Amino acid sequence: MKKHNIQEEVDHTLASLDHVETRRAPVDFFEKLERRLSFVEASNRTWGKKLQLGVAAMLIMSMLNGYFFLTNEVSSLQQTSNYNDFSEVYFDTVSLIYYDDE
Amino acid sequence: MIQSDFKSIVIAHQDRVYNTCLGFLKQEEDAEDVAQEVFIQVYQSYDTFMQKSELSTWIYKITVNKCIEAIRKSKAKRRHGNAPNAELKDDMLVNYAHPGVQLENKERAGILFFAISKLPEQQQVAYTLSKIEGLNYEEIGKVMDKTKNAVESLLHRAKQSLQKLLKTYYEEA
Repeated sequence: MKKHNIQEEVDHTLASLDHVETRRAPVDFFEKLERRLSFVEASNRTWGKKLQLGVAAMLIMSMLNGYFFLTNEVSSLQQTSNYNDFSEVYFDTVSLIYYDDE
Repeated sequence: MIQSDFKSIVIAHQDRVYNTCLGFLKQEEDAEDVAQEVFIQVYQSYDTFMQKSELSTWIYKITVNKCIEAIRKSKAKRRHGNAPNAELKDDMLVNYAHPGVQLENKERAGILFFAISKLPEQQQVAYTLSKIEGLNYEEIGKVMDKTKNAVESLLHRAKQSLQKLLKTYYEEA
């Protein structure tokens, strides 16, 4: 294509959007929007409920975790004191064995 | 938000929002879908809209953002689909056919829309708002949060880039 023709084509193409007709939204636009909005709101509510349930479950889990952690700590303390008692009694009563090398 | 207020907002702005979406997306179905998303966002964020700007400007901003989002998504889809360039050119007149363009200009407008889609995002927005929506520099500035001079420079660069892109297109044709 000649240089002159190319510039002409470019100018015509650039001018092709000079009189674009304004289009109106479809007649049932609002009705469709209402239906979609109610669907979105319903799914948001479902997600909200799921989120609430999730948070509640996490709280319960962490409370249970805390409870088991604390009870475990108490019992391990008791166990340690039992060991101490046992060792004291054992070493008090045991007679030492002496080996005579001679 | 009260339902009757929402209805009056939608009815007052639906044509403008739909038309803007059409200007960016060119397809009637896509434009309607995104226009609905715009009003859903308006409904959900109306309480946070502090009337710092005019309601119409705020809705316009949401519209432009939603359109850009939709364009990005479709570009990403095309990239994922690995559509070759030649195929893109063949589909150009279908994909870039604005229903408001006069019949005798359809082919040229398809080529121009294709060229616009190759511009950087900001230039694309400014050019579309100016050329298709007929907004002046000040109005475009309000929507894009830019000064009048910045808009002027964006449009100047957009026109230069389009000239170059179209020249290359016709030279290769």
